[in-house]
Amino acid sequence: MFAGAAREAVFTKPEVTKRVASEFVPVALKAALVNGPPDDPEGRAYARIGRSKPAPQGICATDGYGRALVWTLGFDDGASIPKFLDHVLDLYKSHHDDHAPFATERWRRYPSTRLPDTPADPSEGDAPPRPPDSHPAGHACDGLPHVPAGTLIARVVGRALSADGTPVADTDGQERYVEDSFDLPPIAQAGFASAAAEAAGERFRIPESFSRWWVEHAYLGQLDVRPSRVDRLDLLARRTADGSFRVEGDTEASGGDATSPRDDGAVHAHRIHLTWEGFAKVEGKAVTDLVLLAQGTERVRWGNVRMEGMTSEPEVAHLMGGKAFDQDGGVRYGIEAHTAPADRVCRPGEEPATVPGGPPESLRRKMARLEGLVHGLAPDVAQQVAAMLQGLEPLARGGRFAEVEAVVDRALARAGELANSGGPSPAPGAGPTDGMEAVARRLERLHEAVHRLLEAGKTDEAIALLDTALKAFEDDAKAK
Amino acid sequence: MRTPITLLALALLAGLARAADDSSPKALRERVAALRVEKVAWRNIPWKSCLLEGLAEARSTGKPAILWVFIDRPVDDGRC
Repeated sequence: MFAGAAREAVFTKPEVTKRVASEFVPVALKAALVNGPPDDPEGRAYARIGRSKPAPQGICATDGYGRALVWTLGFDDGASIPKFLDHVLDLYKSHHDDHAPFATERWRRYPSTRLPDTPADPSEGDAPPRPPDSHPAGHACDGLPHVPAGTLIARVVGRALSADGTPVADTDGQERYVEDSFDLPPIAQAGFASAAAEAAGERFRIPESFSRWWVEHAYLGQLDVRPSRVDRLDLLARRTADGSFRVEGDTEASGGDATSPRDDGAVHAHRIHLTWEGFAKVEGKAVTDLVLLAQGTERVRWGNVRMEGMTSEPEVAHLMGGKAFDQDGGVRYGIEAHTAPADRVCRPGEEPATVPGGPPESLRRKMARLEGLVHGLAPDVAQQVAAMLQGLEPLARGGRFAEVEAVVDRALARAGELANSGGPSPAPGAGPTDGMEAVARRLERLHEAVHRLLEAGKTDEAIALLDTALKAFEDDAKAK
Repeated sequence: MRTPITLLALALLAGLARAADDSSPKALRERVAALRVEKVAWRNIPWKSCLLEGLAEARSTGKPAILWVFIDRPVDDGRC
């Protein structure tokens, strides 16, 4: 919800896009890597950035060495965004020639609500650490990993329709216009090829292991509203005269119930009915080409109970809560998938192991342990661990369980640290914990707790919380 | 008398041919392509996906890097 809100409210404003594109180097990063960096040179650069993050997601500015100058989670209003960019340039001018490390500014909302700075990391010494200029030969970027040979790279486009059946003109909001992509693994393609061969020219039911990939990506809205249930999957295929396979059928998918908010207050409901047509080409056990068109109806609603009564505030002030919307009407989707190009494919020896069937027992046990640890964490802290697990589902469905287990191992280590410390601790590889950092983290959590109470209109509870913290200090001062 | 029936049959055949053309792989690709909007506001920023590449460019150009940290894959045009 943060990302969609940030893209629509911040990164579509003409004056902002022009400045970000020309005065800065814009980089979009996976939260999973910032929150759970891998143990390689690129991972150490991620860890340096993640050390100062006020939340699992956000907007950060760094110098060319990856030293974080400032983070923000939102803005007071639209006019504050260019002021923030000016402030970044001032900080960069002040620090980029510094050899000594410096503290990172952090804002909940720029410029009204500042959070405690993250102190400088003394372990960095007198020279800024220099990240590698590029990846070692044959090593894929952590941000865009290689895929097994034969993987189909699919691109999805979806548009809400007006009452007259034409696509709506507005493309800023994901509830009206969406572009997405996903990787369709060889193991799923083999299921389709196998069903086609067994059908021997007759019409056949498309295996769910193949069709769910594209049905589950045909939806409007941000990632949070992705349908969690496929209620109907009536998709059939038949061989055509030219040897390709014509796809036809109907699907229904749904998610949320509009009544049970998440821990962070988010609530949604989603229902999609689509009629599909398309073509697939098969060569051996692989699908080498896929084109699909779907049309139907969709109702998707998204909101946050914590933001009730705040509709007068600008959208940029609530990026973390997302933007409420209610989209109901006709919809059309297009999907085209082609075999991954050579520069996206694993090198020989790099191919991840794939295992048909379900996850191994070792992974199941680790997931159960992780679930137990996460349940014992405060919601805002558990989000850090949850952010590390994003993107795992496609790997698991592709049978790449060794890679899934590597990520789960990192998440377990992080969850263990958080559970033992009773709060957030520095990201792995970020250097030793010092007293000032522990103080900064606790101040941040107290600030977050007070802010949430105030947002919920619970002023008396906020005062009581602060009185409790101050009482211990005042009692100690009297005793002295 | 046969002329109206012939005309009707021809019209029906023409309609079926058009429907088949609309549903050919080529036609479907054209209909999918027609859904996509090239000039969307959020494509005006050329987001990099690689942190090392971004930091290297920041060093060589003397500009700060703006990092947008969010859930899931930040490949261009990806849902977020």
